[in-house]
Amino acid sequence: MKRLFPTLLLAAMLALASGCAKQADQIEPAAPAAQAESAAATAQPAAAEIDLDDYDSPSAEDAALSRDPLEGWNRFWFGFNDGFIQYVLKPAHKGYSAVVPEPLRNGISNFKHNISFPARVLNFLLQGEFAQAGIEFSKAIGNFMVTLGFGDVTSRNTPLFPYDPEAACFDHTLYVWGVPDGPYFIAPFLGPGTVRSTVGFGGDAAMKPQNYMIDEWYYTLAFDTYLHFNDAGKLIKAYDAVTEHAIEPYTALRNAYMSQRKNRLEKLEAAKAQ
Amino acid sequence: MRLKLFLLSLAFCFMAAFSAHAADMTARQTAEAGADRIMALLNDPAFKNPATKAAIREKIEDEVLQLFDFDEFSTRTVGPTWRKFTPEQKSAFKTAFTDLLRNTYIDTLDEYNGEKIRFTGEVVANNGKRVEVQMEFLTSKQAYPVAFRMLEKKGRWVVYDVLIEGISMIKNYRDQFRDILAKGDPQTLIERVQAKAIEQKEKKLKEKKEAK
Repeated sequence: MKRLFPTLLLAAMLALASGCAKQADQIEPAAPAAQAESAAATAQPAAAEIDLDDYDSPSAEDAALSRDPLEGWNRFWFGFNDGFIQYVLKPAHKGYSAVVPEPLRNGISNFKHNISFPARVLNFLLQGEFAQAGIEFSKAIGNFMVTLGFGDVTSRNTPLFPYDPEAACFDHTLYVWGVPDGPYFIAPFLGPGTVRSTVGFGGDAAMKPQNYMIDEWYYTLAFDTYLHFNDAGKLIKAYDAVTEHAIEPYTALRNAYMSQRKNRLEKLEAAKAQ
Repeated sequence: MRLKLFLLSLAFCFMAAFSAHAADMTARQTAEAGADRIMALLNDPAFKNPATKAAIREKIEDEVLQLFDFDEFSTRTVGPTWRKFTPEQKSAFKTAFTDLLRNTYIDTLDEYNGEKIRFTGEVVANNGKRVEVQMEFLTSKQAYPVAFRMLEKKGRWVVYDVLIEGISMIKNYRDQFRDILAKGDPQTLIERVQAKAIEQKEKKLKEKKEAK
C-alpha cells in the first residue's frame, strides 16, 4: 500500500508518455507485404459500405473525432506541454543525443521495453488472450537470454499465433472490458490521450515491476523518467511532423491523435475478425 | 545496331507517352505511373547537380500538379463553407493553400535518399467513383503506409487526398480550418494560410543558411 502512492504519482507526473509514446510507436514498420496484400484483399468485399468521399458533409465518425468537451482544459495543457517540448525537452535531448550514440540509445530503449514485459503479459491475461501472453513471455525470455534485455532479437520472429503487441496495454484491456473511451484529454507531460488511455497509463505503470524494485520512490521516478527521456527522439519527431505544418497546432494534434487511435483499434478488430 | 536501339527506345517512349495520356487508365495505374515518373526524376543524376537541379525540380512540380488536384484540395479542406466564399476569395485561398503545401513539402524532395514506393492494394468505393490506392514508402529502416484517394475528372484520375499512416491530410487541415472559420470570416482564414506559407518559406531558408 505504501508503494501505491509513488506509483500513482508516477502515473500522473511521468515526463512524456502513453499518448505520445504510443504515437511515436506507431511509426513502426507496417505489416509485411503479404499481410498488407491480404488486408487489402479482405477490404474489398466490404468496399460497398465505405464512403471515401465524406468531405462535403462530415460523417458521424469525423464528428466524433473532433468531439472535445474538455477543450478549455486541453488547450491549457497543450500550451504547457508544447512549451515543455520546445524549450526543455528538445534542447536537452539534442545535447543528450550528441553525447550518447544511437546504438546505445537503442539498446536502452530495448531494455525499457523488455523490463516492462510483465505488464504486457498481465494485460494479455486480463484480456483472455492466453496465447498472446505466452508469446510475449517467450519473446522476453529470448531477449533476456541472448542480450540481457538490451537487444531485440525476437521481434522479427513470426509467432505461430496472430500477435499484436499494440494491444498489450491496460487501455486496451479496459476497451475489451467494455469501458468507454471518454473524451479527448491532455494531461500535463503525458501528451494527448483520452480519459481511458490516461487511466490505462496509470494501470500500466502500476503493473511494471521496475516501479516496485527500488525502495525510494524518487529513484523510481528518476529511473523511469530517464528511460522515457532516452526515447524522446521518436516523440519529438512525431510531434513536429504533426504540428510544424499546422496553422492550428492544437486541432492538428487532436485530429492526428484521434484518427490514429481509431485506425489502430480498427486494425486490431480486423485482425481479430480474421 | 545503334539505330535499331534508338528506334526501339523511341517506340518505347511513344508507347509510354501514349499510355500515360490514355483515358482508360485505372486509378491505380495512374498513381503508379505518376509515382514512377516522379521517382525517375528524383533518381536522375541531374537532380543532384546544382546546375541542372532547378529544371528537374520544375519537371517534378509539373508531374505533381498533374497527379494531385489542388482545386479539390482547396474545396475539400474548406468544406461546405466553400460556397460562401466569393470567387476572389476562392482563388486567393487556392493560391495561398497551394503555396503553403509547396513551401512545406517541396524541400523534402532534397532529402530524397533512394526511398522506394511499393503498391500494396486498392479499395474501390462509392460505386467505383472513388478509389483509395494504398502503398508503402520504404526507407532504409522503416515502411510508412501512404494512400492516395482518387477520383476521375475530365477523363483522368487525380488525387484529392493523401493519407499518411492513416491520417488524412485534407481532413486534418479541414479540422483546423473549421476552427478558424467558426471564429472568423473567410478573409481571416486566407490571411492565416498566407502568413503560414510565408513562415514556412522563411524557416526553410533559415535552416538552409544554418546548414551552410
